[in-house]
Amino acid sequence: MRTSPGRSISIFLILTLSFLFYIYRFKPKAIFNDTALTDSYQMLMRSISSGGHVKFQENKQALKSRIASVLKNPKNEDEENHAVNIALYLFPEILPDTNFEKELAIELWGTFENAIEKRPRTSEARMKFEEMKSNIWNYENPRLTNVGLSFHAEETLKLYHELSLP
Amino acid sequence: MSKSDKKLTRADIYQLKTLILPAFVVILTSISFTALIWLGLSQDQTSQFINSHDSKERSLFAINYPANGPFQAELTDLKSQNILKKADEIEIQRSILAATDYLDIPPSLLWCLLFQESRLNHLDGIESDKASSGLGQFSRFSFFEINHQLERYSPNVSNLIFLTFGRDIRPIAAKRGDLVSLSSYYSIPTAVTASAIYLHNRYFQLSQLLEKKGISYRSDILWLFAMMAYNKGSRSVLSFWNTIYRKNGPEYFSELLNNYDFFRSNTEDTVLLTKSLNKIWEEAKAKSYARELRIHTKNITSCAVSPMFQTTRSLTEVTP
Repeated sequence: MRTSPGRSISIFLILTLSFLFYIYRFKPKAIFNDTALTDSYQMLMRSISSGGHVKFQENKQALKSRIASVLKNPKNEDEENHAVNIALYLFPEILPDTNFEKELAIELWGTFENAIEKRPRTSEARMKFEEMKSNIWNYENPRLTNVGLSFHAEETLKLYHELSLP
Repeated sequence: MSKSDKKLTRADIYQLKTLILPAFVVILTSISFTALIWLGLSQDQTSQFINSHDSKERSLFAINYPANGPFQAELTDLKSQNILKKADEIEIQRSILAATDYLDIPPSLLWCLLFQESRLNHLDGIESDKASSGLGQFSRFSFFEINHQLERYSPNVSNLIFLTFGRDIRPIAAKRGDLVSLSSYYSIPTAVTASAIYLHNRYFQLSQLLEKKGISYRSDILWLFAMMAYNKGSRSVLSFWNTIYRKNGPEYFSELLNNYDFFRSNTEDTVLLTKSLNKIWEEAKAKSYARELRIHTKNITSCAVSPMFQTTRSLTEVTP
């Protein structure tokens, strides 16, 4: 059976458009687009390996100032959400008081992070890390389902795992 | 009437006076005592009234449970097929009543939570490598909290362990090789007590947070949020609260914590749940977690809440 070139082109176009629509509709949507912000954790991890906990604290402090300014004047909802999540896990004290997560974040891991930073790479720091890890899992996903932990919780635990290793 | 009669009458009156006076004193004293006792009782009744206000709030929960048809049918099946043994069912019920009485948890809520988590199979997960197991689907991090962190929550929580078992049975773990040990989560009283404490701790976290902010709440609605936090973590609940507070303001938020209809309509809103969980996880995970959370909440709520509150029609509509 012969097909006309017009029909072939039409079928090709329909298939291509269907494929493009499928890709567009079902592409995995990243929550955040700002790579500078998503790289924050990698930057902090590099600072631990290159300059130890002193460098880590310097860079963490710089990130805190930056996140504080983003929280005051976010460009869009994505950026704000990302800044809130970084603040939640690394410096919850700068979150606005209206945020219901602030108090528990300070209690469940903020104080533990401070303790680890004060005496890094000690057995005491390791105990604090274990408690902080348990708190974060119970806070986010107590049944340990496949959903796992959020990106920010995972990255924070990686940082403090490294800082608390005796 | 003669004079002698009159004299007799006077003598009688005199005698009566000598009798009446002490009798009058006795009667007065009795009345005073009765009045004091009545006053004392009425003070108790006043406090009972205040408590009854609390128990009036509690009446959101069903006295007979499961309150929903599907769970009732499933329970009948489990029992008729001897999957749920009579002795186990009784032991679960006894342990639930003891723990809920001490921790002030609505019994129907704990029963329905355990039914949703494990279908009351206290050995659930014993032959698999599931991350969570037993009646209340405990994970290693839930055990960590019970074993090491109870002092963080209300001070008398750990007393429940002493009261129930006569000693501290911790550390509790999912001990497959030692089922009869009280330290094993596969033991029914241990699993129920530990699960009740874990649920209570979620309630404690949420209530402390609201009290610090001076936000009033209805305790039985907060128990429903604590149930959500038990399964999906306090973060899911707080993110949900943040979303609603930002979108609708403090008055609407207050209704959410005080009005069961608001609670029900908002927790059944998959779009709203997904939106709030999307602040934590990427979209696909947020969708799947939101779906699970909605089903979980709906199942437990329909099982634990009195059928009176579950009609979608108003009272005027159902009145004949």
